[in-house]
Amino acid sequence: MQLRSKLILVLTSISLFSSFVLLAASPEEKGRAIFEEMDRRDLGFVNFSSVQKMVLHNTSGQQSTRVMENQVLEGESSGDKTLIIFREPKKIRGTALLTHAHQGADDDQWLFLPKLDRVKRISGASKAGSFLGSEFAYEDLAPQEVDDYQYKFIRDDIFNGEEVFVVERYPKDKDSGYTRQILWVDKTAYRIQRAEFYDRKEALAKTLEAREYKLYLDKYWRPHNLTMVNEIDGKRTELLIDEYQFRVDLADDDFTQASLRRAR
Amino acid sequence: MRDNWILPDKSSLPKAILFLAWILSPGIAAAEFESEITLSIRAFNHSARFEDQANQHATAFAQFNWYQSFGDIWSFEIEPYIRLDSADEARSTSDLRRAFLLGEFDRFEFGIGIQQLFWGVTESTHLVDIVAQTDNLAALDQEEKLGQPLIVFSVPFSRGLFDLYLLPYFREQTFPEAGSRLRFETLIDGDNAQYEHPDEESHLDVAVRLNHSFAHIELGLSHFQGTARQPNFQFFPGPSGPVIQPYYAQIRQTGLELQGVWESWLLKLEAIYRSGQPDLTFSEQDYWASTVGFEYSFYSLFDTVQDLGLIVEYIYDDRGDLALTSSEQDWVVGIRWALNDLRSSEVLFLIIKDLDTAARTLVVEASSEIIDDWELVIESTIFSNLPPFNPLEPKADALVFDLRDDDYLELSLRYYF
Repeated sequence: MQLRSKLILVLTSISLFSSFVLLAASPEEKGRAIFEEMDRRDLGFVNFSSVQKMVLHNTSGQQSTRVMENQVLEGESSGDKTLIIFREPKKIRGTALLTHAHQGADDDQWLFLPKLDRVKRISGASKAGSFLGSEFAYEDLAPQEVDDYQYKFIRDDIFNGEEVFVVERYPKDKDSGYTRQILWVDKTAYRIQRAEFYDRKEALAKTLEAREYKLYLDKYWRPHNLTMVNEIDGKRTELLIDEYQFRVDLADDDFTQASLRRAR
Repeated sequence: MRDNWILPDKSSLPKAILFLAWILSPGIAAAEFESEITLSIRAFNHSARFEDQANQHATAFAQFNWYQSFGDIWSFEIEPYIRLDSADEARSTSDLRRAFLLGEFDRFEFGIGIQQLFWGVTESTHLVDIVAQTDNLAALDQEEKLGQPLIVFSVPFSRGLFDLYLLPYFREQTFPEAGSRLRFETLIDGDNAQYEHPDEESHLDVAVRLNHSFAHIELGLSHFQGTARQPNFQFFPGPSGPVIQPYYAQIRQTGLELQGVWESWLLKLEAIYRSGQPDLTFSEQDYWASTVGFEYSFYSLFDTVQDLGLIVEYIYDDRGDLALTSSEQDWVVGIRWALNDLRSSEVLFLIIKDLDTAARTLVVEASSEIIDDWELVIESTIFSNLPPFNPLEPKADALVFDLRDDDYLELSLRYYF
């Protein structure tokens, strides 16, 4: 009985949504509508926390590991807030990065350096920089807001046997390291399956694949393996997550400068 | 009756192990241990100028940090520090860097104990930073601090933080001894420090700081009232030559820190207004000092993952030749280079150039993880063209003249566990 009502609900929302997408005439509107729907489906998660392991591989087969704890707080009126606390390499343990995302405006970022007991404000341009030597840039790991990009629907396609939308998006922030991104978003649950990142010279710089999606609280899909490959030099970075913990004991006052100093 | 009182009986042994496992396990008891041990060799380019000084010495230092939380509100942190030097007695020391109980309540934080503290935004000088005494024997960069006894009351608000510090005990500066390099010819008699206030090191100092984040600007406003962390030096004729005694005045200092963030620019300003501190000729005069500069970052240099930061700063002290520091009017130019390789390699390169004289100081710091948890650090400081010091007419620029043969290269191996 319950299952059936849920099924009906899902079906209704799909059909409602499809008609909305059909109504959206231009490719720009359709592209944006897909990401608005993705955003809508993720509403209400409140907060989550996960321990993430990053494995960096260079082309001669060497590898190096970074471990961090990632905490995300859903923004009510403003954008999301994230706190990343570094655990490994031990040289930088206790270093913490706090980001306050803003819709359509520059994010605010602070870095806590435990060795100096110092909180340093960092500039928006750092978003294009490499995250701890990995193939991920800071902006790839920052909270994403719909208004941060302009969109364009390209085509419907099949990816890994799933029906997907292929959408291009263009970062509005000129500090971004990208001119455009192409994303493969599955039609069943609006999850990013694959992404291509084009650098400022319009060359394909990196490719991301997101795998092992699991469902939390019956509503929120999260990937547990993200692989970013550098298409220019062949290096790659895997981001591995064991488990996400939703609705933990995190609130606004855990995402302030004062909390940065005591982050552990 | 047990006949062996030394060894615990068999039944309690597993319990003891379990208890130890509970204490040591980070997951269960929310206890964390973070420690590091460093071995360094410092070699000087020129032979020692003064008797008893060595041309190279080795230093070992260890720092152990234990953090324990008790439930949601209270936590305790303790951090002993030990340093042993092969040739320099003054550098062989131990200190409690932290022993601090912190309570995090809904609307405020309360802390009591010994703590480390740093204020400021600029790279070359740390003008505003005043609460914790500098461990000037550990490093020249003024970034190592001695543990400061304090009581703190903090109130966070939406985009800022207000801190009130009560500082019941003052930590004296530590000074080089006969065997130390990087010292004045005349030794400083740190054991006979003089104080302006009769309460000496037990004078209750007070500090407040307000921090606020604006859209593109980070603001810090602070005020300190109490014993100057920076001593004045009094010369006395002694039976076996002149003697220098440190003198700690009572001062008031208001500090301003500004950090602007704009695209690839970080604009930085630190300024202080201080009253009560005598100048180089021991006359008391209010003064102000400021360091202003920027850091411009090039991210993803030449399409690699490397980042390069260009640092430019200008240091100004209103007292000019009568300042207590040789950085009274200096330019600083530097480069911070993060290779962002698997080994997290970094290089910092700074040149500090005096405006009135040809004096120049070059600082290089490079570090890289050689294998997991092991880091190799290379540091070097080179002084050139230091102007001669004339005791009859002391000038700020000439204060460091005695360091002219103390260029050094230091190699350190650090293990984190």
